Amino acid sequence: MDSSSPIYHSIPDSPTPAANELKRKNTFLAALDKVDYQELNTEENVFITIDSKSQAIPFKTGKSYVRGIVLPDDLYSATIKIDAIAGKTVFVPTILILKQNFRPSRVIASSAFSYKPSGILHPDRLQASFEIDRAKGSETVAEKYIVIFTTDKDKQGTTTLQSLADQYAKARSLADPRLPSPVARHAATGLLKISVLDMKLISAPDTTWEDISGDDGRSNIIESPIVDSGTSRSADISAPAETIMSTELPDSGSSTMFAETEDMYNRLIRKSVDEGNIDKAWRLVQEGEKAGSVTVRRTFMKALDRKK
Amino acid sequence: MSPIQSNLGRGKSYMKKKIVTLVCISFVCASPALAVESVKSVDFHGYLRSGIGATTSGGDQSCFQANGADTKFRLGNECETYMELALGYEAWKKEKSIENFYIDSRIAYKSSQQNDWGETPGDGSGSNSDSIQFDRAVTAHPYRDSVVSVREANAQYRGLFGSEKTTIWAGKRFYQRHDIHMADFYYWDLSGAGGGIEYIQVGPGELSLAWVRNTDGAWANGLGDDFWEDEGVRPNVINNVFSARYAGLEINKNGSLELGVEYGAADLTDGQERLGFSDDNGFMLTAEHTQGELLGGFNKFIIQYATDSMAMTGNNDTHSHSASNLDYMWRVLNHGSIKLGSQVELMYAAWYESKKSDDKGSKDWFAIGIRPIYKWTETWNTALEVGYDNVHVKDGFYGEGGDGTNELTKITLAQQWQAGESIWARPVIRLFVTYAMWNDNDTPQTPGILDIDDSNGTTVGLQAEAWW
Repeated sequence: MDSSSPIYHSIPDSPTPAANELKRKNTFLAALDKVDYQELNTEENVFITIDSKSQAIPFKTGKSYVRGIVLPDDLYSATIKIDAIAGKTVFVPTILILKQNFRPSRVIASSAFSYKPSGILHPDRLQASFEIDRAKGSETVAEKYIVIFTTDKDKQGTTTLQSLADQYAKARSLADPRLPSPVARHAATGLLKISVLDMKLISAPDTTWEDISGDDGRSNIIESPIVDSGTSRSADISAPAETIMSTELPDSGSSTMFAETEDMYNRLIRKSVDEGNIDKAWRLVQEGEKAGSVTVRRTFMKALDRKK
Repeated sequence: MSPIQSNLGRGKSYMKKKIVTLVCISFVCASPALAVESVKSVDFHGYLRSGIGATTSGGDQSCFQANGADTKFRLGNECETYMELALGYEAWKKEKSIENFYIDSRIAYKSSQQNDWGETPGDGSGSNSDSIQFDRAVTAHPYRDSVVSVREANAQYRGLFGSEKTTIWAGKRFYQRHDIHMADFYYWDLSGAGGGIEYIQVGPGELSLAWVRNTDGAWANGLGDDFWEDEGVRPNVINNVFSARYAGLEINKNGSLELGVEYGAADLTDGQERLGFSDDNGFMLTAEHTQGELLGGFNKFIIQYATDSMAMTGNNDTHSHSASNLDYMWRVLNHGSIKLGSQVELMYAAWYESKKSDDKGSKDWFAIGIRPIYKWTETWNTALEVGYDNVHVKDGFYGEGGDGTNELTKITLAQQWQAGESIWARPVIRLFVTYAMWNDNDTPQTPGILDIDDSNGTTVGLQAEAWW
């Protein structure tokens, strides 16, 4: 079905104007922690536009407009389905999922998006799904941010759509109609639809001592603080990703925090645990991680062990 | 298979002196076959039409078709429930390759929709358009008017010779059917049990070869069926049709040419030959030009020529009939669908067919129809269909009776609610009124509903049609 609903008018007819505007976009202060992350909207039929008013980030794969989504703290697990709506152009997404400290957790590559022809209730789109799993012990427990962007290479391609004549031929098992199929050129901007399925919430949003007391001796819930490249656990696809940091930055094994501040956090954490103020200690761990520490969690667990 | 082209990205890295660094990502090169592990799912396709109608002078809905014509213009002129359910599945995929095995199935169901409960096998399924010579519609048991038929059951090995489209197949299937939608006319339709190889890239076009069979019953062998006991000879005649098609020749901008030849022959046993069954063979040539991007739609122009056993081809019937008694047939068809502005879209079709029998009789059939729609909104439009059929029989062609011309005109007005604005959008629900008129020679239409010597009729009804 070809739909002329108003929402689909935001899909541009040509990729050129947006591409030109993107070239001129200033990204001097752009960084992943400066993206305006919108809280995940779990209602139905949520559309997100990526246009020239969106922020842009100079990725290694090319400068791109981005949209950011932050997962609510009480989201335990969910399947997130992303539809990139195709008209005369289509935005081919790559999904970057970040942990609480804005470090990469996983990448869902654009090759995970497969073309779905228009049906009775929906237009032509590229679709991919991935799982969010924040259960203790899961590799992805610390995921918090989703960044949607596109790459320079993807912007150069096209996607061939299925024409109504082809749909008729497939439905009725007819000969190839030998008619040209519509083609959607890949663009820097576009329209996406986000769907959240099979959502499970944590009943108590704040993590308390009971949650982490580890009845089964679960002190091994701490994953390695080193960023591991994203082998996706979802049933769908993500390409293995290598995280490459610039040579000016510290290597991926250590904190990016100022050493003195990190010491301070660790001391405070140990002190709070000794005093029996576990809640305060945990707050400090969360704060420390947000600030970029990779040692505060270890400190906390060691302190707990000693306390036992 | 995703048609997206994805690949390595290498861009500049930007150095930031911030606590949280800008992360630069590079991807492992992802070729479609490696990266995309398709989630297996069943393809569900199908078709259905069903509804309710009545003849305004009393009785069940009448459907009108010129006597001797193989088709009728269908809007507001269909009296049956017809449904196809098709399930297909990619059963196997070769690792690191585009080759895969696909299984396909399609079951058809048809009934006169007389009651909620319609049993199979029906003793008179079919629409009320059956002519007086085949009185199944007149004798149909009201609770036993349904039939079921498996139309497709096959497996396809796809992705040969490095081409996604090249396929080896075996089984029962609809084979590359070409149709005129508004008349439900399958003018090039070699369907049945068979096997072949499709879409081999040869030069500028795609070559498809197939072997399909059709079988004629005792009525067609000219001798009946009462020789099984005495002679041990079966009455049914197997016909083999061999097909070669060469398609996708881009001879002009957005234009494509397809050429095809079908050769059909009876495959007689020794016993059948001994008894003198007709062993006619024949061939059919088809040339079809498709013009795309034409006023927001397309046009197809077709020429066909057939001889002997292949000349009996009618609707759904590019098959060999060895006892055909026909000398030759030719047809010229032109049909398409175009847009005029943003609110008018129309389908149109016209064709001329001429058949000559061995004994010098002839049947000439001319048909023309147009179906414009006016779109009030994206889902609400008004459709008009006007169709005219003229069948001229000379010198007693093939049991049609002496000389004469049958003419029928059908006019339908329908209000349609559709899932989309295109004339091809489905599902659709229609509220229609149909008026048909015909000449004396063409009486009777729907005898028993209309009077034998009526020369016109009117019907009203509601119909749903969908394909997916």
